[in-house]
Amino acid sequence: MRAQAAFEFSILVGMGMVLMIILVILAANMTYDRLEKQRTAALLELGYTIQDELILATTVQPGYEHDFLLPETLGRFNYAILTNATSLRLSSGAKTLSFPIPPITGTLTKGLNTIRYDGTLSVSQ
Amino acid sequence: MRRAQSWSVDYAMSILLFTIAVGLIGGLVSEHLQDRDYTLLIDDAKRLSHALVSDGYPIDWADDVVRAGILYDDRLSWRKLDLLSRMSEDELANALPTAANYAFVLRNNGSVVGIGETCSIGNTPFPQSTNESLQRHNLAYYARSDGDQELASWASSRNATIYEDDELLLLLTSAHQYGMILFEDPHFENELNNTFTDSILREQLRRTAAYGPMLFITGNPGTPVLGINISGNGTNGTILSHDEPYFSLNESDEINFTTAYTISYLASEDILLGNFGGATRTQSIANGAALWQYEDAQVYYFSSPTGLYEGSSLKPLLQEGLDRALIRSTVTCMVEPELLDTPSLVKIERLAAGHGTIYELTLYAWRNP
Repeated sequence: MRAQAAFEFSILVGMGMVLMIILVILAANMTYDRLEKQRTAALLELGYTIQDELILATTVQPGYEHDFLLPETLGRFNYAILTNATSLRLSSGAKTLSFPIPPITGTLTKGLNTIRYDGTLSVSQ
Repeated sequence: MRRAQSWSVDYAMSILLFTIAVGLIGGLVSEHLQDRDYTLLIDDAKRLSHALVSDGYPIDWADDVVRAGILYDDRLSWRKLDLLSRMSEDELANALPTAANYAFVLRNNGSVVGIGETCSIGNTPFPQSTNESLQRHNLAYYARSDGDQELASWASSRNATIYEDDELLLLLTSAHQYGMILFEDPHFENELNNTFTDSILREQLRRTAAYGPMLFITGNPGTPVLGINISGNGTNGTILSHDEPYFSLNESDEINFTTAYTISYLASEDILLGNFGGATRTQSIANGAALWQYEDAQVYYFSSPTGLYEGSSLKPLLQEGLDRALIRSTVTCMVEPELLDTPSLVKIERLAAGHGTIYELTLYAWRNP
């Protein structure tokens, strides 16, 4: 009888372990997908915000100047920013997104950036 | 035996409680995530709606489109709508700030308005059922009583509103109502007087162009207008390439403008030049044609009407081209986007004025499950 109880106990513990492992794997997958979605959403949000800032600067009178802050991290995600004359690239983890922007001189970096519009758009730190 | 039974009950209870706990937490987490998704979708739709109902960048879409706003000078631009309807999926993805599925329709008095051959525009356009029917732009025609009126009967048969002589200013102040305005041998300078100065004329023509109609001019405008200068020097040129949809302008054709009316001020305005009808002539009444963009208007210029119509073969070609340009849409649309089978859908309605009508822009954004 004691052997049978031990056997049943082992079966139950085994089933519990299997169930736990399955749940952990499912949770890990869901969390990973969720994190990647959040990462993409954060990159898109920042990219569109920068686009908006630059487009707004081209619609106002020459002489416009505006400071804005690019965060060091996107919430829990680290990221990198790279600009050339007409595009902006944001990358985080394995994800890289590219955004077209109005022609600018200078580059955007994390921290304080200053946009100036004098007929042409320039960015400095 | 009694102890074993007690263990089994304990186990059963604990598994039941565990399952309930997992179910509750899973449900709560899932609900939380769905709400967050929906919030993001709403933000996306708002941003997209704001971008669409704006002038965008660049305002005239002359270069690569960074932001595809469909207004020009705060009015609906049919030129931009037409360009947008022909954009590829990649171009759309670059030009509009959203990662969601979206489509928008234009309505006028509750009915969906066709744009070219399509009824909705977006990265996931709606299935559409259509009836073939031609919808034409509103047309205005201006000529002088002492000038050429070769196109008057054509314009009348297309229900044009006819303007003549000193009704020029009336036409220009009513220009927002029209999708196409045809000036035949207008000699604008003849209407200049103390109350209608050159600067007023220029500003009225600029505003007319900003309303976004297609402008056709034949003959002699008579004064520097519409972003170009008409000079008295002859010129030649060669068409390198073109995508002109209405008229036959052939690559490598030679242009020969009349010595009387010559288009200059070319490259900076992205002017397309070429023979009309493919003919090459060198005499003073040669056929010249030019196409350029001024404000939100596509401006088509054909040189001497005498030259154009001489020999009679070119007049039908011109009328055929005008007919093609006059068509706003070839379809009557029946879309029912409200039937979308998707768990989360955002709908935003905006209003935009254009060509004398108020249009309702309805934007739908969603994410597939």
